[in-house]
Amino acid sequence: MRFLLGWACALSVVSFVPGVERWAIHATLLSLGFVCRIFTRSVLVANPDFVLGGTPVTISPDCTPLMPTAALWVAILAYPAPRRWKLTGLLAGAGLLWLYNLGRILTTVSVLKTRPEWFEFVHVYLWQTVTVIAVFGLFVLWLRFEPRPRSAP
Amino acid sequence: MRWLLRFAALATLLAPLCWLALHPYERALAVAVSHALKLFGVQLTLGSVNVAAPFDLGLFAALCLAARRAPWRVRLRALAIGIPILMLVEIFGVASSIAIILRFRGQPDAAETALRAGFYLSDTIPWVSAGLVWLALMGSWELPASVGGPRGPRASPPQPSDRARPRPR
Repeated sequence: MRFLLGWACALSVVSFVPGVERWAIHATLLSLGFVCRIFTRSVLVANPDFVLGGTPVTISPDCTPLMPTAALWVAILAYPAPRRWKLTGLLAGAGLLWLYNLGRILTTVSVLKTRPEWFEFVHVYLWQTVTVIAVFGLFVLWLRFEPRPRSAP
Repeated sequence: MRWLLRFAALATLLAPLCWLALHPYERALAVAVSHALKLFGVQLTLGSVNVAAPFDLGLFAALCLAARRAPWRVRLRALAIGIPILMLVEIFGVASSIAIILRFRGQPDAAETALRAGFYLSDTIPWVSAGLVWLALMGSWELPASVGGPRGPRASPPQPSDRARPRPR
């Protein structure tokens, strides 16, 4: 029930505060540009478009880690655990999902460039499934490594 | 960790099956959503609905089958109950999203927010529905004691202190 309430809150925030969505797109583009410029000069970022090696892609709200992060955050917040451990999970989870999403976009761009006929499957279905597995994985890892209180000697 | 690997492997195995069923499933979902929309007073015939279904069903099946503690009877029961629930979530999730978007279409100040709300509501299907239904049906078996209740409700004999313990949701 806590999870459902949290998810309803998350949906309300992203629906009624358009700035969240805009910020996520802008920050995703900035990070993509930053990462790609380390390796190549053939990068162009023009919100909401991103061109890598002549291959253009448009970054939509679904291309940002907004919803996976929201799902992970709501799960962590709904779970009874020490506050500090929750905070660690929220920050580490968001960071890892952000990095994961950059990898996902760059892989998808390379698929678009080399195997455009696979793009639809890889972009819409494969990565979505893998992302759900990644969110589950992070949540399970967070649960597994929760520090247990030391027993008194 | 082993559970996670088993889940990932099963999800990967089930993904091609979902891919094969994709187009017929999307068309059937469109028919069901068109009927559900009539409940909202909306006459609309959809050709296809794209909400990452039936991949959510594949993920749910992988979650159930990857279980470590739940006996097979419980896993199969979860599959039998959970898959129809997820299908209903798909139908009514998409129908509600469309109804919200259409309801506020003519109001310039609300249309954009309604569009976003409808879009994100339909995002519930791929992101949380499978996990949520799995938690409801199998969480008490598979999650650590601090959340879902005792580890494997029937795996260990009941202790006197268990009576005072709150039941899982």
